[in-house]
Amino acid sequence: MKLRKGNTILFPMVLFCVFACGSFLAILYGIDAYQTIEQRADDNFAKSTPLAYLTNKVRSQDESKGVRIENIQGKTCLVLTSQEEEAYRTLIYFQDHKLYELLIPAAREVNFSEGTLVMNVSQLDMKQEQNKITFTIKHKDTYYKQQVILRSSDKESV
Amino acid sequence: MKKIKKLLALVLLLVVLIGFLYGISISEASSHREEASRIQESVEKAAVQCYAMHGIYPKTLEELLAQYTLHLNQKDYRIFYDYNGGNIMPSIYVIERE
Repeated sequence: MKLRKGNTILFPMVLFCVFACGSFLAILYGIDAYQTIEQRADDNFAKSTPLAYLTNKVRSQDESKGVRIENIQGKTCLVLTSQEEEAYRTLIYFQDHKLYELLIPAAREVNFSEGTLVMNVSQLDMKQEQNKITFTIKHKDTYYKQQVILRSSDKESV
Repeated sequence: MKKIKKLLALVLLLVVLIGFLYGISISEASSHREEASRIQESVEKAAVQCYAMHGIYPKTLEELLAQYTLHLNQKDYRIFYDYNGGNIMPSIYVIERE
């Protein structure tokens, strides 16, 4: 089949354009798929990790008078006190949509600017009712709640 | 006059070329900084996730990487993982290798 001179230039150009557009669309699809996967992973992290982290922190120090929610300098803190020879306390607090942790000698005054950033949390609420500690986080307009019963309190009451 | 025009065009081309190369070098430096902070963020996130799952921080970076599949560019970046105890957040730093 004979092609006219115009077609011999036009056909490869059209083919090239189709190939370029196809590649571009494939890249866009790949980016979208990657972003969706990453978003899901971030969502899973944001709604489950802070609560699991706080629960493990409570469990790690769940001994007589070792765990309590306290208001220090107007900030609600989860205070974990070690009962070792040299007493230390760990303060876990929420500030500017972030969860911070501060480990200091028990006698030292608290300086919140020294805290170590643990993770981003959009909203966190900590409450204590006797031997029950409730953590509530908010992620994308949904609240997730975790209640931890202090085992040390049971031991005390026995 | 023609020579001056040619010279001006050449100078303009050189300026554009230098500007282009400068822009590329700046964006490269910024992307390197971003890469280092991205690696640090990934390792910190994995360490926190490990604590949330197991109640203990991993002792070494290798231990952490064995549990979590992280694709880290360790060829160009050096990752310092200082273990501070099972219950204390490790200190993590990332610097670019020379």
